[in-house]
Amino acid sequence: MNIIQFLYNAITIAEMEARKIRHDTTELWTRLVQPALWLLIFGETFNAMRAMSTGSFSYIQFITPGILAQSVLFIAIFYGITVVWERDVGIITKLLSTPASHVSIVLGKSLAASIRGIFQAMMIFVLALILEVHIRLDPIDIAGVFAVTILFAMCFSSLSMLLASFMKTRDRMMGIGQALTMPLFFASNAIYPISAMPVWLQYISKCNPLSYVVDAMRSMLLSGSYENLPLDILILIASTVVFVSLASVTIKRLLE
Amino acid sequence: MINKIWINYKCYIEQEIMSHFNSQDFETIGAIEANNLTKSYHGGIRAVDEMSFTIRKGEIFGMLGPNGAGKTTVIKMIVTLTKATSGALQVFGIDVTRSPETVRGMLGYVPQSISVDTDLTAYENLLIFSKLFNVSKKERDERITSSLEYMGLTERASDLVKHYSGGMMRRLEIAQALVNRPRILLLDEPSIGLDPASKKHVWESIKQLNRDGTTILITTHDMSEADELCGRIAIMSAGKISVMGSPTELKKTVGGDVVTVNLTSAHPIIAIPKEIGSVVHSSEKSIQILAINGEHAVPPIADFFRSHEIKVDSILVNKPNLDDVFMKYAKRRLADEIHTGASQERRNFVRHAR
Amino acid sequence: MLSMESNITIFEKLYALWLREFKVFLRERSRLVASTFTPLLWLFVIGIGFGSVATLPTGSTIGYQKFIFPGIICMSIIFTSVFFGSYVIWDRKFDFLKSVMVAPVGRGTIFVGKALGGMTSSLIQSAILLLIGVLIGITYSPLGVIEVIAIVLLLSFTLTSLGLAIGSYMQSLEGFQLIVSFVVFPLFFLSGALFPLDKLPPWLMVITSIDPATYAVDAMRTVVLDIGSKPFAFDMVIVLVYAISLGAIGAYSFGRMKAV
Repeated sequence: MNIIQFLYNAITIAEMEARKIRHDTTELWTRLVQPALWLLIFGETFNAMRAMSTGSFSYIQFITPGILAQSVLFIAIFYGITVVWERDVGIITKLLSTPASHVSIVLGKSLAASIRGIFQAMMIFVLALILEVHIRLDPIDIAGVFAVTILFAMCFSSLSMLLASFMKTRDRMMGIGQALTMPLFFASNAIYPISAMPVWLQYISKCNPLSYVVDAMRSMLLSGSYENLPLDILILIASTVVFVSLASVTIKRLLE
Repeated sequence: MINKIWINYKCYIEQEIMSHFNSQDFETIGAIEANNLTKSYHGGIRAVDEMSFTIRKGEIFGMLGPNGAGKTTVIKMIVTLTKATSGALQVFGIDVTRSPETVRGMLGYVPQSISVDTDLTAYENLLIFSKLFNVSKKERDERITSSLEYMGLTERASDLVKHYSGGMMRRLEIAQALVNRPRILLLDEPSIGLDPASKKHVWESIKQLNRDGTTILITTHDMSEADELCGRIAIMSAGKISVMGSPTELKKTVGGDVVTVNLTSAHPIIAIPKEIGSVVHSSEKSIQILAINGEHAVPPIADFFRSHEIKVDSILVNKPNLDDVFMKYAKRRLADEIHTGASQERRNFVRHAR
Repeated sequence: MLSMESNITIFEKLYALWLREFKVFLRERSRLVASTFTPLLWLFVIGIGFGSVATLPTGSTIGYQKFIFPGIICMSIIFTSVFFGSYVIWDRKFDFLKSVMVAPVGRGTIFVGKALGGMTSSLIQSAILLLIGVLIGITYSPLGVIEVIAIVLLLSFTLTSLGLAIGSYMQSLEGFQLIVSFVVFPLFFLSGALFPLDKLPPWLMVITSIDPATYAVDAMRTVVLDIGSKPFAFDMVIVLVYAISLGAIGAYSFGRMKAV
């Protein structure tokens, strides 16, 4: 298999998603409501209460990268449900009957999820600016945030597709989605700093991939210190490769 | 520069196909060849049970049978969507398990349930799939336009597919399968659920495609469809092929036509001379006679009854249909199967959706 | 010929309808587990996480975890009750609704039957959570338990009616999900369950004061923790008013709903 061809197939599948979005943007906006509420209400309230010590940043600054990462996580994990729905209507069957390899199909779908993820990240970025949250506006940092978003979305959407091959129904995927996103969100450093947590929670957060993403986001949006960044990104890339490979092998199970 | 790579890649595919056999073989090699093909599931259920068949290049081959006979499973194995448990399956001599992607590049597949992307337009559907089938940019536009025209969808090409009728969606699916100019077109229940007009259109397109050189494999449980379209039919039941042959051959094996003579008034049972035919069934007012050729048997039968001064009310000639063929070989009536099949479908939907 | 209708009282009809909802609820045990899981997550992860990190200005003798406990109970009521309405969409899809609609039962009765079903599932859910409350050090008085039950029943009736009203207008599950994210989540978020409401900007205060959940949460807090900003009676009256009005709207929408 020609590598350009492989990439081209993956991009074509992402193109499907882009075209669908062009026809109907509703879902992009509706998925913004929750993160916007978190930022607006939770963030502002606790900010005003000055209830927490979050280092040199205000609480709402602290929480913004966390909310951004959480909303991308949400989109990525719920992408598995979209894939199950596509299986129900026969689109997955059609895709698997083309000469495109399974890997390119899974990769393409994860790119499709990241398109939606980018949109979320962009809008939350804008919202933060509107709320006058001070975040770094260095172009390199912004590019970094988007790059991490893409990688992050790819990672978790392929995990979601892997799970979908075993869960198989929409109901179960929704259940899994809830069961995954909430704990991942709460047991991470998204809304409170790790240092202030009880030990057992610290331990869980350190094993939580979301914490690393949030950490990377924070360094690009707030602190500008990139010491942890290489490790964060490396872990993310490694997980993405693992999930994409596994999902490519199991995707056929979805048809049975 | 990218285009050049495309064209090279396409040539590469062609070469790969050709390299698997020399030109002599190409004429005689089967389009699809199955040898003791088996697919079994957990619990020992065999969806396909040691099936062997050869589909010749350029024919329209039909697989006729009720739901659960294994037709869809066979198609899925050819399109490499499932792997056979045992046995060999080759498409133009290429083993499907060894080079699945090459095989998929040669096929066009129209699944049983509608599987077009409703959130895209017809044009976009065709565009995406033509890209996935590595159709070069130069040829793409022309092929998309001609496929849409072929299936009568040019006017609605930029409408979202969700606004299409069922018949149009089915036509779009066929158009999509055509865009990569497949060597073999696989249609799983092509006209199921279609209104008569769309059905006819689909049949016409299938026949035209065949005339243009495409080998076609159809699965169906519609006897009239198999009769109308197929050069050869395999009658399947419970994962096995009961009998294979052309529709005419198969109908002949049933034994002939049935002439029903209805009398105006009751008459005791009468013997019919052997030259005219043999009595299959008789009651006081109706006699069923089996004859080799029904139409030719009518005049002598009418003469016979007239000469015996028995008043005849009406004479019917029933030519055997594939339902009779199916009855003979699978020992069940195809029509009955369809009813139970439909309620099972509904039950499955309910179960699935919950 | 027996005239069946006159022999069956409205209570027997209600019982039959309620029984069907209850049986469905029991069968969907996985849903029960799933819907208990989220509140527990909130309570034990955010409750402890925030609890150890943040300091509350008001009620500082009570930890954050206990502070959000009443709100978490209300959260589970909010979500289970509103989602109960979504089952109408399933029923409609599978024609169960049609068969019920042609039975000799008034639409109002069907509505009440469904509402009772929703209330039952909320009650069971809340009971489980209240028991768990004991684990984190909450004590109840006998009167308190009765008051809690009253709050639960009123709130769940209110929100089940809301859910059924929404369900009767929605044709698809996706549309329902949309409404949930626009209505339900804000309802919960702005109810003071997670944080005291006094520090909010004025425009948000307006929204919290029209949110029925705010009063239920406050009432719950008064009963369970003895810290509430308004008197118990006042909160209950407001929730009652909401219950009656949303119940009426719900019954009206349900009555006008097309069964197809």
